[in-house]
Amino acid sequence: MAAVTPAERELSARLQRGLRVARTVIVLAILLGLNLPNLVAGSAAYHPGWAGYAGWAVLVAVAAADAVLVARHRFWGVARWPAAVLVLGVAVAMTLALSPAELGGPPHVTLGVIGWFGVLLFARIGELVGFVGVHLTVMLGFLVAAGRTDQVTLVAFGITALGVTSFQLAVGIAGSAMNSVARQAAAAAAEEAESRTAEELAAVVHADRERRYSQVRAVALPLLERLAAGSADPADPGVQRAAAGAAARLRRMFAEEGDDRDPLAAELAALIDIAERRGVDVQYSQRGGRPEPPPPVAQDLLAAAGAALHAARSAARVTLAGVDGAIVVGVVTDGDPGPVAAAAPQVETATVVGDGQTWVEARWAPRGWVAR
Amino acid sequence: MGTEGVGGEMIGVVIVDDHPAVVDGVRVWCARAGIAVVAAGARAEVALRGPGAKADAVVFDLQLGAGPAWDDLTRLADEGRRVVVYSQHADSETALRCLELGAATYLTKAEGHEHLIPAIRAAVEDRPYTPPVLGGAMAADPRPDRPVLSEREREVLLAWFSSDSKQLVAQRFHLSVKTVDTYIARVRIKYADAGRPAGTKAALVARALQDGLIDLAGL
Repeated sequence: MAAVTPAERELSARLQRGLRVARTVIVLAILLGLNLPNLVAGSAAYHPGWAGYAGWAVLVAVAAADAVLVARHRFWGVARWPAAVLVLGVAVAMTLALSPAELGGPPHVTLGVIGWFGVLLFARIGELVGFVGVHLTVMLGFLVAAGRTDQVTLVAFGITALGVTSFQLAVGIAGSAMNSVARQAAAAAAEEAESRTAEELAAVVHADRERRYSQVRAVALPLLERLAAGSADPADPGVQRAAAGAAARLRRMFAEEGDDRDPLAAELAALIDIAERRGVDVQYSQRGGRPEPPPPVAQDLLAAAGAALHAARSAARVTLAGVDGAIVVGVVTDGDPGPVAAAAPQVETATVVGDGQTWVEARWAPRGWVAR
Repeated sequence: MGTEGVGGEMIGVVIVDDHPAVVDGVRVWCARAGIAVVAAGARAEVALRGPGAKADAVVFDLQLGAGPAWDDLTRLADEGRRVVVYSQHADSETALRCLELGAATYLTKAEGHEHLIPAIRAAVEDRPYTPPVLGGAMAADPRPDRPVLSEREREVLLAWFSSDSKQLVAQRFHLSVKTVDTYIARVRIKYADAGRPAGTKAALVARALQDGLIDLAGL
């Protein structure tokens, strides 16, 4: 049997509550309404006389303990075993104190009521049957030991035992059925929660894809439309740069997962890839740990790198460095990228021309970095 | 016209690399620069015994066989050999660890074409040589016990990493190329003066003191 989950226990407790209240009422009613008058009427059958009342008091105490557990939505758990032994012990003690002539008669109150304690203590039908079986076997043993093996007595005992026990087993089976219903209900609830989670995940992924597609629509489609209409000239460096940028976006979108952990490096790699396809020899190095920049900052850093890379004729050096929380993207190119500017206020760009090369640097310093 | 070593003779190097193509490439560069390759092999032993034991510098591939050959590097440094680590590893941690163990300098294989010969010459003279990627590693060194760099030193180092051109760095900060060189060298000396002591590190610091690159107060 699979382990009982907390959710199942909770559901089972709620479903069984009505049934458990009913059982407790039944047992208390039998003890007070049926057994007590029989004890009072037949107290002379017990030796010593108080033995009947003492045993009865213990049974009332166990039933009261059960009522408290029901009120607190709790079960007997492993305590059912000592409680069962106690109840059987009481039954044996009271039967020993009873005069043999009264065995199976009205003063022999334990004979009918003990099985109900099995119903209170045991949720599993097998355990309940075992408990009732042990009790009835012991009682039968007492009858045989007292020499009362005549047909009338045995038949009377059998009728009592069968009549009472069938009630008890019926109530026990009802509880057991309720248990399995609770288990199924809990499993169904867990399944529903799982599919809800999967749906929500799918929705998030879908929204993310939609966002990316809308980016592509915004960047690539107008460009393609202008190219198709002839209003954009493929020879125009501006158009080429826009195409390279859109290609980088497309590449990143197709890359999807995997590159997500470092989007800046991934987009930079895409820009490098585009330059390499043009035959530019690109050297790339990255150093240091970097924070993840906000999207507008990343866009500025990449725009500067993209412009410089796009201008490269045959060779370029690209570096990405993280120093004390700042991100520095540098590109040295053998072409002329023209002026490079950033839109985000926190991004600074610098262009140095010399040595036959142009060095473009874009730097984002989120925490009061002073660039000199 | 040969390049002369400390003893006034031609510089001799030993190449420890398990890729024959790399060994051949380094041989060609050395031959063009007038540097003699006295021995070459796939194991560090070639630099410790035979003709290789007398070479002025060791061009050392860190990746010999399975993992980085830290033990071999430590042994060579402990014997006072000037080791130029020439590795395909590009990560900062590896570069900084090599310096810590006493390597003269560290360069990635992508930098070899431009920087290996100058690095060998500098090593033989106990002068610091910092290729751009190593400069980047020092500028972005995240370790809490890293040597303390001045703001300007860090900026110059970062710019050197970014541009691979001392001329561009000089223009950017309105400095002379020589001053840029001094900043970069000073950082290297700070690294030589930190951590585990090694004979090669001490030689680097001593030479920098003689050259007036640093003074005792600067350390």
